[in-house]
Amino acid sequence: MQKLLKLFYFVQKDLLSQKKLNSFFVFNLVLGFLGFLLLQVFQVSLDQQTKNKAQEILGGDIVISARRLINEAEVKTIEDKVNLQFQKRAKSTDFFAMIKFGEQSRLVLVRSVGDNYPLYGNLEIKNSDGNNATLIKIMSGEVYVDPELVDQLKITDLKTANLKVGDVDLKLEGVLTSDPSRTFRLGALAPFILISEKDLAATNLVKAGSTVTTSFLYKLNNPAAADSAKTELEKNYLDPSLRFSSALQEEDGGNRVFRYLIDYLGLVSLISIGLCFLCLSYMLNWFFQVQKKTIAIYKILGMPDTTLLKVQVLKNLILSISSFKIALVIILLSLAPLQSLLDNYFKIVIRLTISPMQIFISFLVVVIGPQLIAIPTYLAAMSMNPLILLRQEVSQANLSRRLMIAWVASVALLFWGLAVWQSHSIQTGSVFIFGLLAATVVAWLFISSLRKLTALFVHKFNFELRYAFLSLIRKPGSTDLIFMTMTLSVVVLTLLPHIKKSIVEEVRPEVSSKIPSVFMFDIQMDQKDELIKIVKEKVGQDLDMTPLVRSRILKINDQSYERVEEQGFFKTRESENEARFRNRGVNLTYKANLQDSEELLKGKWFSATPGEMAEISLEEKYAERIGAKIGDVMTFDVQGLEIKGKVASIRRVRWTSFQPNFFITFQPGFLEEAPQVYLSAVNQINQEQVRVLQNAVVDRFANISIINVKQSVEKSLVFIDQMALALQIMATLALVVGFFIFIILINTQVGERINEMNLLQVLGSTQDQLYRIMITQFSLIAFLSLLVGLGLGSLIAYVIMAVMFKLGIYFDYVSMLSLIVVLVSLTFGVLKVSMRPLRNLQPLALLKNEGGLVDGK
Amino acid sequence: MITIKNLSKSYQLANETSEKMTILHDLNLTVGTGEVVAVVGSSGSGKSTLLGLVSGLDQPDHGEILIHNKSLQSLRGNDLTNFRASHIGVVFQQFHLVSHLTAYENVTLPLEILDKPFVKKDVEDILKQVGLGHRLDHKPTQLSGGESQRLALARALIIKPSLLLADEPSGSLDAETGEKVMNLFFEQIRLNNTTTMLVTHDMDLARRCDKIYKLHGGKLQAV
Repeated sequence: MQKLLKLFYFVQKDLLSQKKLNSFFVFNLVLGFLGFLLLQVFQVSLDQQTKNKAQEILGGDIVISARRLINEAEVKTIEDKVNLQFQKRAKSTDFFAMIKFGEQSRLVLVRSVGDNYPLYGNLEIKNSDGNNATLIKIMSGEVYVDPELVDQLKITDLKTANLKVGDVDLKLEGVLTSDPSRTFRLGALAPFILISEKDLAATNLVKAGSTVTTSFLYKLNNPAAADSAKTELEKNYLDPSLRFSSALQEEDGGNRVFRYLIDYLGLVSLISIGLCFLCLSYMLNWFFQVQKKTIAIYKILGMPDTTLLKVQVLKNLILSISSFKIALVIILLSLAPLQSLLDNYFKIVIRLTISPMQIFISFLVVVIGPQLIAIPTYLAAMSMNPLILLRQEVSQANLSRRLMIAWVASVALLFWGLAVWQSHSIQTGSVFIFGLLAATVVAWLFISSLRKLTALFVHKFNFELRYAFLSLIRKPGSTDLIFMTMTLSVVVLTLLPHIKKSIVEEVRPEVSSKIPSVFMFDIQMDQKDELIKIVKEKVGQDLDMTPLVRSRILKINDQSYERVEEQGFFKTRESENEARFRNRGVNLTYKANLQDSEELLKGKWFSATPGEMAEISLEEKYAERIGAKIGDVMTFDVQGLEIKGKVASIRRVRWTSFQPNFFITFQPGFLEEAPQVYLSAVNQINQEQVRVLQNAVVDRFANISIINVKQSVEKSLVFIDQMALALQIMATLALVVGFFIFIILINTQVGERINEMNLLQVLGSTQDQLYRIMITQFSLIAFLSLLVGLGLGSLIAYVIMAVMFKLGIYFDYVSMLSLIVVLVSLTFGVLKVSMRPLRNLQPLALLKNEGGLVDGK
Repeated sequence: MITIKNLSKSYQLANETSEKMTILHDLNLTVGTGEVVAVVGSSGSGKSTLLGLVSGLDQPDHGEILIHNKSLQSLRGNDLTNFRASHIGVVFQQFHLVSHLTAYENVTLPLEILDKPFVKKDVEDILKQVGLGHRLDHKPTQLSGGESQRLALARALIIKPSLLLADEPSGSLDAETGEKVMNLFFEQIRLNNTTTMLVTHDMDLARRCDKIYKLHGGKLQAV
C-alpha cells in the first residue's frame, strides 16, 4: 500500500509539473476517440433494437418467405413436416405496382395482409380525421399509405380520397406514421401502401411470374424455440427459393443499409484514431525530452527501472482514463441532439443508447492503445544512462531493429483488428488498412524524396528561404509528422466528394444520355404487343422487350448448390451476404446480342445456332462469387423443369445504365417456352411524356410496374447526399484531429525554438525576418500536405471508381476548391496565432538560460 | 571605445506593487580599444544585467552606453538590431548553437542574417583557428563541450566585432577544457585586437585580463 502511495506521489508530481503537455495529451485522445465512441453508440443501439424489437422487425418469431407466391397447401405441408407449434399465423404479400389518384400515378410497394397482422408491435396511423390511432385490422376496401405518397399524389382531402390500386378503388383511411417492420425508409425505391388480403385478387395485380414476395409469419407457442425451428426447416427444405428467418437472426433490409453506413463510418473514425496515435507518439517523445533530466535524477538517486516504468505506465493510464471519461461525457451529452437529428433529418427510427459492454470495449481500446504507442518511450526511459546529466544533449534511446519491427507490427495488428471489428468484414478491413498504409508510405516516400532533393539546391535560396528549408530538411521527425497527418486528413476529405460526384454523375439521367427515362417490369406475355403499341403511340418509340424467367440454381458441375446456414458469433458482412445470396432464386433472360451496357471479357458470345446444351453468359462478379468459369455446366430449375447451360462467356455489366441487365443470360432457343414476364425501358423522354405514358399504361395494365427513373434517381441522390454527409462529418473529425496535431506541433516547435529565435535576434535578425522564416517553414509544409493530399485523394478515388468498380471518374473540383479555401484560411489562422510568441522575444533570456542547444532536438 | 555613463537599472520585485530592486546604480566605465576587462562579482550582483545592457539587449532606467561614440540608447528597433549584430559579438556560458545547422553554417549564420558576403575560405580559416577545421560538417550534437564553446567563439569573431562580450565562457566546461578554450579565446582576441568585456567568477581567468572590475552594490570598483 505504501509502495502504491509512493507511486501515486511521483505520478502526481509528474502530472502537476507538466500541466500543458498533459492537457494536450488528454485533448488529443478525446478528439481521436470521439468518433469511435459515437460509432459504438450507433452499433449498440442497432443491436439493442434488433434484439428488443426483433419480432416486430421481422413480423413474427419465425417467417417462411419466398420471392414467389406460396399457397396454403405448400405452407401447410411445411408446418406439418416440422411440426411447427404456433399460436397465430399471418400472411403478407409484397409487390410493386402502379396506383392512381386522379391524373397522378405512382409506383408503390403494396403489402396485402390477412388477419392477425401485425403479430407483434403496432401500426400507428393518422386517420382521415387527422387523429392518431393504432391500426387494429385492415378491412376490405381500405388502403393506408406512407406520408410521402400523400404529397406525391397531391392528395389534399384525406376524407374523400380513393386510390385506384389495380382494378379496384380503395378508400384512403389513414397515413402510416409508425411501422415496426420498417425502421429505415430513406433508401426505399417506392413508398409503401397497406391493403387487405381480401382485395388482392380483385386488384388483378399479381399474375404468374410477377415480382412478388410472400411471407407467412408465425407467433410460436414457445418463441425461444424459433432458432431451432428455423434450423429444422432449413434441414428439411433445401430449396433455396424458400427462406426461413427467425427473429434473433434477422434484420430488415433498411437496417442493413444503415449497418453498412456505420461500418464505413467506423473505418473513417479509425483514421482519426490513427492520427491521434501518431500525435500521441510525438507527444510521448516530447514528454520524454522534457522529463529526461528528472528521470536521470530519479535514477541517480536510486529509483529502480521497474518503479520508473510503473510511474510512467500509471501516469499514461490516468491520462487515458481521464480522456475516456471526458469523451464519454461528451458523447452522453450529444445523445439528445443526435437523436433529434436522426429522427428529423435521417428519418431513422432508432433509440440511441450505449451498453456497459460497449463502454468497456471502447475503454480497453482507449487505454491499451496509448500504452502500446508508449512502449518505445518506456524502453527509452528504462535504458537511459543517468550520465545524461553530465552531457549536453542525448537523443531518445533507439530501439533495436527487431524491437522496432515488433512494435510497428503490434500497432498495425491492433489497427487491423479494429478495422475488421468496425467494418465487420475481413476483406473490407484489410483493404482499408492496406490502403491506409499504402497512402502513408506514398506520402512518406514523397516527403523524404523531396527532402533529399531540396537539400541538393537549398544553398541557392536566399537566407530566409534557406533557413526555413533547412529547418524542415534537418528535422525530419516533426516535418514528416506534420506532413503525414495533414496529408492523410486531406486525402480522406478529398476522396469522399470525388466518389460521391462520380456516383451522382453516373446515375443522373440528364447527364448520362444512355440512361432511360422509364423502366417497366412485370409485363405479361399477353400484354407485350399492346404495350408496344401504347408506347409507340404516346412517345413514338419502339419498345424492346427483355424476357425474365424465374429459376433457381440446382447444381454447378454436378455439385449441389444449396443454402448455407447463418451461424457463428462474429458474422462478417461477407458471410451474411453469402447466406442471403445463396438462399434466393435467380432470374434468367435470353438474347442473341450483347447490349450497349455490356462488354465481353472472356470466352465467346453465343453461337448462331443452338447446340444440344444451352450456352450461357455470366456477369463477371457473379461468376466470381459462385465460383463458375468458362466451360462449367450449371443446372437450373425452371418452374419444375431442369435446364442445363454451359458457361460460354463472362461479361462486364454497367449496372448504372438502368437497362434491363441480368447476371445470367441464356442463348436463344432454350427458354422461350418457359413461363416468363418482360422488362423494358423507354429512352429519353421528358417528364410530361413520362406522366402521359405512365397514366396510359396504368389505365390499361395496372399490374405493370413503372419506375420513373428520374424521380428514383433523385430520391437516391438525396439518400447518397445524406450518407455522404454522415461520412463527411466523420472525415471532418479526422481533419480536426489533423489540425489539432498541426497546432500542437507548431506550438511545440515555436516553444522549443524560442531560444533559437532569441539567438537569431542577437545575431541580427529582425522580428519580421524571424516571423517570415517560421511562417514560410510551416506554410510550406502545410501547403505541400494540401497539394499531396488532394492529389493522393484524387488518385485513390480514381483507383476505386475506375479500376475497382470500372466506372467513370468525375472529380469534384468545387469541393476541392472549397477545401483549399477552408484549409488555407485555417492554416493561416493557426499560424498567425501560433507565431505570437515571436512578437515577444526576449534575447536576454540567453544570458540566463540553461542548455547548450537553442532548439531542443 | 566603450563608455558607460551613469548607468542605472532596477527591477520590479515579484508580488510587490511598488518596491523595486536596484541592480546597477549610477555605474560608469570606460574601456579602450583592444582592451580586455573582466567584471567579477558574486551571484546576483548584476553581472548578467550589465552584460544585457552593454549588448543592447536591455534598456537602462538611466544613463547611456556609447560604443564607437554611438549611443545605444539613441537606436531603436531594426537600427539597434543591425548595430548590435554588426559591432557586438557575444559568447554565452551555454554556447547557444543551432542544433540543426553544421559547424560551418553556425559560423556563417550572423553573416547570412546581416546579408554580408563572405568567402568560404575565411570561414574555414576561422574554424581552423579555433581548432575545428576538421569538424566543418558536424552538427553541435556531435561536438564536445569544449568544441561547442570554440565554435561559439568562432561565430562571435566572424563578424570582426568592435566589442566582444563573454558571459562565463568557461563556466560550462571542466577545468582542463576550460583552460584550453580560454587560451584560445585570449589568443584570438589579442590577435584581432578585439575590445572585450569578460564576465566571470573565476579570479584566475580575470587576472589574464588587462583590468578587473568588481561589481558590488550596483557599481564597478577597480580591483
